[in-house]
Amino acid sequence: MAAPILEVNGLGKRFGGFVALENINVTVETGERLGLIGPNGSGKSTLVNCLSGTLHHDTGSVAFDGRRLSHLDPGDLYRRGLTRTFQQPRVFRELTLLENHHDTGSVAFDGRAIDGMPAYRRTRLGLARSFQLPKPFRSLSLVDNLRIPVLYTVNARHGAHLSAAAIAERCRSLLADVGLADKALHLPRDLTQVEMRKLELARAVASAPRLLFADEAMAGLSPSEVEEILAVLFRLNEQGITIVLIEHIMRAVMSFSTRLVVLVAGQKIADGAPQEAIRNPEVERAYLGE
Amino acid sequence: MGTGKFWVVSFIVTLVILLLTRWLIGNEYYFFAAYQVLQFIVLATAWNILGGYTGYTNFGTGAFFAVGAYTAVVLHKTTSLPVPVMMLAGGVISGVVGFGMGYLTLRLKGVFFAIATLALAIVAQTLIVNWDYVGGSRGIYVIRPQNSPIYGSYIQYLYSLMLALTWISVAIARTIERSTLGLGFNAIRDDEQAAEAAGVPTLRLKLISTTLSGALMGMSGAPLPYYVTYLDPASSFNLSYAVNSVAMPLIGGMTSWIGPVIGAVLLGTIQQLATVTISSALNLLIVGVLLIVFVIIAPNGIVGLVQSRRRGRLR
Repeated sequence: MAAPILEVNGLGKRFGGFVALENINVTVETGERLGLIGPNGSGKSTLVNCLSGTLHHDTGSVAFDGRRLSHLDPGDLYRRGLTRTFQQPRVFRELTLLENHHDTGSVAFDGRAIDGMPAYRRTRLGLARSFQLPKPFRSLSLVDNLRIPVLYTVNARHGAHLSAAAIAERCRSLLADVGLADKALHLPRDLTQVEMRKLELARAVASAPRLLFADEAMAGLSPSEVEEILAVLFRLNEQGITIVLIEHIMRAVMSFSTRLVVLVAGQKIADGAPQEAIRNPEVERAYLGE
Repeated sequence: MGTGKFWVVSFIVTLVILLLTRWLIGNEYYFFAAYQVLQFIVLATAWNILGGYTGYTNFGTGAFFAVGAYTAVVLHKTTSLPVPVMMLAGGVISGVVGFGMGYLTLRLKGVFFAIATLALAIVAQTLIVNWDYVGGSRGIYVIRPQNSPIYGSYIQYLYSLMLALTWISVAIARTIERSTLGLGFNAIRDDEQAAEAAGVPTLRLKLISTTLSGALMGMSGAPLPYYVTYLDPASSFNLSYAVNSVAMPLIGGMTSWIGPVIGAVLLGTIQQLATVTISSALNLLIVGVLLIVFVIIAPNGIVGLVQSRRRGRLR
């Protein structure tokens, strides 16, 4: 089997005294469609934020598209490179991260351990995300919304220099993929809710990711709109993008996922085939009560 | 129009303006007044790079401007460099101050960032007030060289330099606007988290923005000692620089390079007229009233007003 695209070892995150995530171990295999579910406040979005670099985790390690790290004990990683992050005041976060990155690099990950790496560099590596509440660039047209990730990721990778025409063509075809081609020059405020979600996905995909976190891309949509988004996600997966779907709409999760991870109160309580995972007594208890 | 073409065309326009004004206008006062207007075009354009494109409101314009002016004072006392070199030096020092300010404060957002820049201005002013070498709170007299290095009077020389700086500032702003860098700035302005997730190195871009903005402000401040011949902290750090450099892009329009130019020409000229015809104390009142009027009738400035008119006609 190919090496996993993402490996999360013993990840933990606290907000003051509140433990948001505790000792999370998740592996995402290349090409899979992983569903991530859990009740409100169980830590799904926090996990995505930690993995995509929007937040920074306190303990544990994350490896993306790297060699297997089994020969390295997570505690070892933690001691050798990662201890600094959480002891520093948050305001200097990015400063210490650069140092950290340097430190972890020396532990021979081939520069692939992404603990402490700023979000934009993760995106450039191929780890993209969409936001739960769409965050379009409001003053820019749809096509410019996509041009930004294309310019800053695809065009910034290994010296690729796309021509202006190639970039424009790429943006247009990305918009066409999600059915927004005829609104290319509109501003995001002209879009409906479902179109906004599509723009959000298109912008994440514009960075040509290998792994995409779709954070509640379907919340608040009608059943037919959910189908539309699912179709987009299936198509992206067929193009070779590994997808982690965070979702509350169970019908969508069950039809999409090849594997399901369930979080409750910051802990992983199930991980396996979707049908089995939801029959897990702990999962039933978490969702339905005793 | 492509970026390269814009540099060439704007250079020709600047040259034509320079030659025509120098040829047609005999009264020195007009150069004295035009210098002020040009200086505000530079300040407003520089402010807009950080405030309009990147979305960070800077109330410390006075500090960057004065740092440029005091750099020139120090150089005036220690060397006999020509003014253009002093402008470059002022730009470098103010750029460094901008970089430092960015590093210290850019983790603050919105109103908190604005307050921090206001504080920076006060800190810088306090330093100058207590620095005797550059005159301290008493201020300092700067004697202009007797002869202008180029044909015409010294004030015409300063006017020509400021016109050149105006050309450079506007062309830089226009270049940024059409570039990857400018798009990155806009992404930061609209949503910083989303920008970062889209691969934009937000911290680096914000530092570029504060450095560039500060450097241009400093460059425009460097000729000031020669222009006024007496420099003191109270006037060089004057809040009116900050207020004007915010008000001009707001009135002109913050999304495009032409906005600050329109705003500065309009407000700057009205203020010059008011100074001569009514009283110089009226200046800030005029700015305040115009600001209120524009916030109500054209929240996106004159450029925004024109754009929405045009869009309305297309539909």
